[in-house]
Amino acid sequence: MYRALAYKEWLKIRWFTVGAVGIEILALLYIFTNLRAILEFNNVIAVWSSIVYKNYMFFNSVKYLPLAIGITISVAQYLPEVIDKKLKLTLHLPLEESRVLLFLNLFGTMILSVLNLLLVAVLIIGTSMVFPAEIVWAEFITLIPWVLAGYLGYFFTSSILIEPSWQRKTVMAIVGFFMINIYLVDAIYGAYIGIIIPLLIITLLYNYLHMLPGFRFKRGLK
Amino acid sequence: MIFSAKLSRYLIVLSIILVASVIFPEFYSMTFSHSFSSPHVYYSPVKKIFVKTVSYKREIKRLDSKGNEYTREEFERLTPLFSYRQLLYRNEMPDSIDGIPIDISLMRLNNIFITIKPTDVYRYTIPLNPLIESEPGRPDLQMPDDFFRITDKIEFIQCYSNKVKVKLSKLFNDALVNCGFNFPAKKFFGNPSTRKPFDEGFFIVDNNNNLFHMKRVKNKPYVKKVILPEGIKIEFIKVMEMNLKEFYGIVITEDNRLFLLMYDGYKFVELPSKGFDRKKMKLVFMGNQFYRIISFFAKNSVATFVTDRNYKLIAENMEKWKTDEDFAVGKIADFIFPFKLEFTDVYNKYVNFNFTFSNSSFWIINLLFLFLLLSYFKRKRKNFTVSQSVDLIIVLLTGFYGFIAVLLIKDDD
Repeated sequence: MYRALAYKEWLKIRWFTVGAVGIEILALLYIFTNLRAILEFNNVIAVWSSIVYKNYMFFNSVKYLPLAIGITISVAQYLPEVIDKKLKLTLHLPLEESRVLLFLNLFGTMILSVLNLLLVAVLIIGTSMVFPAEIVWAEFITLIPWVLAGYLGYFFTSSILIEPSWQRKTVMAIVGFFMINIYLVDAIYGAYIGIIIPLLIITLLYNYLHMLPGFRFKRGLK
Repeated sequence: MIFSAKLSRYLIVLSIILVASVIFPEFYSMTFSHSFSSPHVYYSPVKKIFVKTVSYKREIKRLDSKGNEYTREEFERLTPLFSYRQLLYRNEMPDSIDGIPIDISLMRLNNIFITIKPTDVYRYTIPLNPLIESEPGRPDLQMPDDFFRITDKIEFIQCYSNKVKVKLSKLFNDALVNCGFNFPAKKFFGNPSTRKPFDEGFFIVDNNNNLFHMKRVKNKPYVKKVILPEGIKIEFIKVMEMNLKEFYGIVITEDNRLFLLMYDGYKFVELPSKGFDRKKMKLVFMGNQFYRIISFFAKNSVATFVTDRNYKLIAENMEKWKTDEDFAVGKIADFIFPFKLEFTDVYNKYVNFNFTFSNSSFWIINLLFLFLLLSYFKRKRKNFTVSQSVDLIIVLLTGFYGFIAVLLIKDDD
């Protein structure tokens, strides 16, 4: 049953996933060609200094990319479900409904993880070819909250779409906006180092965010 | 399903509380808060008194500690070592102070201004630094083409190739080991800029909390162990090369003491540090031909200490001013908001959950909201459910924020 469910989810989001990979490749191409040009046309020592002392982030064009992908995947996955109330059918399968809801989100999360892994891995490997481990590590801990923002965007978008009442949709949208902002504060390298673990735990908990909306959806509450 | 729906509801409620505790106090402050500028305190070598400039909105007042007001010109005459450019321009520079003749070049040499902010100390730094050649044989300093790291050994990394310079690294590594350095380094402090008269390299705290001075002289290592005074643990050193060559920099210790690290045999000279809190105060060190003036700027006070050139305390002064907390704006905020949440901090450059709790007056409003919710629940039915009791506790603890949250996301049972 779950395999069939997974296949159904995949059918909905496959082209969006391919599109996301395409955009990631374009973004990565831009970052590394730009970096090559900067290293070519500037003093390399000055570039190192700007990174270490002036907080120059050559990779900051991907700051909002995981968030955009998270929201897109969520819309692709849940919008068709709520338009004709198709999700009701899924929730009436002979499976426990909270498990089904969790499964749907986990499927999306898994796809997001593959996309994020691709993005982060290429960035890290590429960076480590031109910069020492210290800069690569600083880049990595700077990337983590941006990536987590993508998951949070996914969870909030799912909840907003599934939630039947417009009043609650609005509340969740406002709250989601400010919660995601926590992960995207304009800060220096490594500023999040003290709260990466708490943010990770908070993000994992939000996997359950759409449970109440799902429950209300099934009951047809307004 | 029930359990996960409940968990989901509390997640939403908690998110609303967090977001409310960020945006409501922020909005309140944007609407009502005032700015309070700190006075600048100077010590007049002419009259031997403290004078200050205080800005009130558009105008600047110049006062002494008795409240006498001075004109701009009078004030400049009181602080000739600080205002010498203006006094020279007006041909009013005194020939001597305390019988000591004034020599402009000597005065320039002795004028020092050093600031250490908490954000300089409490921030993430990428542990790579350039070790500038201190005897380049040229008038200007030049950035080297390598950055060094100190982990279990010291390594110089060539910027162009991103590869370790093996020979140079070994040379410095041996020099450090021979001097008794214990890897890895805990902290290092330098002034990695070429806009200074000369370079003094880095001061490094090793794994045994010993301090070492490392320089690059004609591409060869210069390493010296610095003997620390008994019981000192270094938190931060602001290294600052000056032509005066009296001290390498200012040392802040983990117990909020302040020292100058002198050129003369790496001696430590203690500075006044009464009331200094390195995590919450800005340190300003001003020097001139006659005095050293050390100020600690806090949120609503500035303490100033004046020493002579032998670092003997001769005068001290305390200025306090009122902030929002002393006025209705702040007191009302204490009532309405049980706490506020911010993610950035003026004292450091980390992102964190910075909760500021109000003093106890918020309990009154919290109780008010508790009773409002209680009467709302009572109207609906007689007996409380467990989740209603939880909601009441949430409102008792978080007041206004929780009240909004539990009403926006009511429990559907």
